[in-house]
Amino acid sequence: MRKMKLRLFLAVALCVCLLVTVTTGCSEKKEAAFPDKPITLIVNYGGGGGTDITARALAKAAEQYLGVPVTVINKSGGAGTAGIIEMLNKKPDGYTVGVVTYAPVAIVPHQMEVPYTPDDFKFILSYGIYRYGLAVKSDSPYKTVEDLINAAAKREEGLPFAASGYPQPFVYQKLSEIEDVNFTYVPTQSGSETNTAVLGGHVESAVAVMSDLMPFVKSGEMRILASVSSERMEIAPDVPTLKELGYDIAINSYMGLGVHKDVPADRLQILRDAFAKAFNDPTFQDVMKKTNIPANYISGDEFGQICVDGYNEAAENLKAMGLTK
Amino acid sequence: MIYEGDMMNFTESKVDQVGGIILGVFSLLLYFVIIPAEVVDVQKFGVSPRFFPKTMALFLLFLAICLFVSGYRKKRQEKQKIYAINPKELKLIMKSVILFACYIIAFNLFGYMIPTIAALAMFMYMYGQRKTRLLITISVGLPIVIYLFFTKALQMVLP
Amino acid sequence: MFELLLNGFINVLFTPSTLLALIGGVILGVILGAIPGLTATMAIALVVPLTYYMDPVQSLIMLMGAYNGGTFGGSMSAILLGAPGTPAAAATVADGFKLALQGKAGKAIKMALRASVSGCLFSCIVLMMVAEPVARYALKFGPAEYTVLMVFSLTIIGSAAGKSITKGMIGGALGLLFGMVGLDRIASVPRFTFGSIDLASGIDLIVMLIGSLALSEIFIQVESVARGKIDAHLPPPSCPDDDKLSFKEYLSNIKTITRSAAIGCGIGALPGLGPTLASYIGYDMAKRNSRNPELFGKGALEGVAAAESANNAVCGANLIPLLALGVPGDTMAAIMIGAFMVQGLTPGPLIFREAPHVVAGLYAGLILSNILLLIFVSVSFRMFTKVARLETTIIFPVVFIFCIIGVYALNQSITDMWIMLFFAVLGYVMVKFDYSPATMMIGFILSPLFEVNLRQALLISGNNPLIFFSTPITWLFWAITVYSIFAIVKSKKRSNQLI
Repeated sequence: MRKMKLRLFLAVALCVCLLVTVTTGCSEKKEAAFPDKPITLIVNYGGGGGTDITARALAKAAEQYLGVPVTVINKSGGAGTAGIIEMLNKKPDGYTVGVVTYAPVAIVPHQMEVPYTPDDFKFILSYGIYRYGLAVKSDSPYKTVEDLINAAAKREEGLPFAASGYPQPFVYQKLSEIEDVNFTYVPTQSGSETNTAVLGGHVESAVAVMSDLMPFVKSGEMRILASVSSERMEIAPDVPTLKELGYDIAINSYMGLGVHKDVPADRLQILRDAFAKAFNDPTFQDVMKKTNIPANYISGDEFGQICVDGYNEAAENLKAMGLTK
Repeated sequence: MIYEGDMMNFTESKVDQVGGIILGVFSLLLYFVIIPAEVVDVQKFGVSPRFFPKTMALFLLFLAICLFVSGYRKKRQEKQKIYAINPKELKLIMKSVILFACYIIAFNLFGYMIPTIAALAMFMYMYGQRKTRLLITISVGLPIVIYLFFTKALQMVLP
Repeated sequence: MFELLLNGFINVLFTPSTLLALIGGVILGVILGAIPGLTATMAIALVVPLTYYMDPVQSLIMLMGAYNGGTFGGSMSAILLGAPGTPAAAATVADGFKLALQGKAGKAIKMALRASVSGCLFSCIVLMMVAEPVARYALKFGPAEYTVLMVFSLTIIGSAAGKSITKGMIGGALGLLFGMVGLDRIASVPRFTFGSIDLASGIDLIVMLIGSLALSEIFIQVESVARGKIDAHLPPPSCPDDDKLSFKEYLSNIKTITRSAAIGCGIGALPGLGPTLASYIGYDMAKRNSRNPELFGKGALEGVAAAESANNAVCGANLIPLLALGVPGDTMAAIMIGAFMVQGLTPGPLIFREAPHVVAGLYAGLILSNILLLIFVSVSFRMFTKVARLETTIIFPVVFIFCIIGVYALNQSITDMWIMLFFAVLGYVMVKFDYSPATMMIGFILSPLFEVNLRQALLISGNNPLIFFSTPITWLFWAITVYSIFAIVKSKKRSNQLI
């Protein structure tokens, strides 16, 4: 009796399951203008962070130009790769868009096995850029980059610096190659950990995202020795770039959107147009300003090229540091 | 109700010795097979990523030996703790675990709603709920409530 | 300052939408926290999109309320089901559930509630009076100091181990190993990921908790079903006194509560440690200093008070590094930074000057959230105990479903569900044979903290181990460590349980 009931239940459950799969399978046959159902945006970092906040703002702004809702899902993990892989695993029909940040595409593939290379994507746009600065504590004896290098020359085991992940440490890697001195990379788990390491005097210097450093520069607790980006920063225009100081070093990192490379070209174009309009939307610009992340439009194709170049460059840098997988 | 003969009884000494052997084998496997295969040795970065796992494997081996020895020593002790396992209980737990596994597979294949309703009803039935009305109300009602809560309030997507 | 705070109170109390946000936050937190598998951090997903439309005080105190409520809510299921709803409540289970089995669920919940509220208020006071200097002092904790603090914390495994120290330490060692799964935090190479991307970010603390402490405990209780027990899950109170907590009982635990609150403040002020560790240390310290340590783990009110006061003290203390330095102490605080930023504010030393009204509102909200928590739970706890007294045939399946859906919702990951099931089985086997999943949990929490800080310290010093003895803070923690080991050995020797 008991077993009978259980079996009956299973049978019913199975039938219902089948029915559902069949009906949903049928409904997708008709061709209609893209997009005709909600688009899913997979954010590759957790809720509440800078990437999440800005991506949600962009998604919200894009809804009016796409004419359909954009649902945001967070899929963090694997140093930002899990969300990207999730996006690639979905059907390449243009209804799944992923936040594709620079490091998981260009750098992480050299450190761990991931089932993609930068060539597996079509990019929609890059909407934000991370600027990096080289910072010391304000009561530190080092006033210029040269001071720092001289100090490193005196310390054989290496002058410790903090950074929270690639590409930041490449700066010191190149500095030490050019000047033949040693720096020791002390990896931290986040930008704010980098800040505490500098403020507590546990490391001599650090390279970090400018938006993380700015509050402490404003309060007079940190000093920026150089901008590590290719140009001077709007928020700290007096600080020279490393290039101006005579070192050919610049790192940049980007936030962008991408889809699977098999997404049809016409659908990709629709997405590119809509998100380009969303980028110029004042509400989105406002969120970017408040989060201290410079809004910067780069077209999908250019961003793709940047990622491919960065991918090749990172391979060399990591090899020089002895850190390839 | 439960007879002595129905139980699977293990003495503490035996449990400790077997535990020691299992953990010992595991720690050796860890040290010689798993760590070399699964952890890259990075020399340039101070302490290698392998250092801590290897230390822990050795420590575990040490603990396993301690456990085995203490189990061996207790062998002739009269008053040992007896670990009694009731096969009936074990069977129910195993059934629960299997149902769990089936649910996860079904969840992966068919999404949230139907597998959840089925699993909930089957769990309730398995644990002895026989009132059909209650069974259906809860197993259908609760998944719907959870679904609404997650998708509407928490803005999460359930497949 | 005082005037500002008063304004903050008036602002929160007399702006209906703000008060509503706070009440909503607290209630949502308690409910989410009380359901195993769901945590208060999930309330973020609800609140973060709202922060665009709310003013900063509203969204921040809503988050604060949810955090405070959630940290308490976890102890509700710890007491009533024996399954901690949130990691922070893991230390509450040992005594809370034993009390519930004696029919004293109401008493235990009330003790937990009073202790939580006292702990959080204590940390509020510390936060308001001395946030700046405390945060400055916390900066002195570098990798070396953290490492020694972790060495001390590892000794908790020894004293949390049950009858057999060896088995306790095996649990701890396994926990340390599980904590190493994922991308190596220093060299960023994968460890023990077996080629899976889902494992690259490591095992989630909540997945581990739900599997090894909550589900495994429910499995143990399911055994009673096989013995034919399908009636109420918990016994009813044997006398009306069991549902009450007299003021005398509260007072007799005031020392424990204060000690735990102070520990919670310290842990909360140090970024990266979190409420779970605080409650374990608070519990451990209470056990060692208690007049009746043998009652711990058998239903001591003191144990509930110690764990609960410590973890809720972290809620307030978390704001110390956040407001004074702009450094988030844990996930929740990191999300609060996001909420600040959406409003164009940056937490940090300047916020006291740039937006004093926001800070005052936040303080007021935090204090009020405790009062609301007290009211809400006092009114509704009977409902919760009633739920726990449902038939086992209903309550176990429902808890199962919540656990599994909650775990899935964390990262939308099927792999997490499998990991949870693995730990549930492992935890069940461990409990069956007197190993301790609790020590595994402690090891798991400490693993990354210990390893990363140790390796960072060695990188900074150029592999010179003297860095671990370089500052007075390190000496202090070494001294405490030595004392702690000495005390453990002594107490185990007394009861002849050394091996």
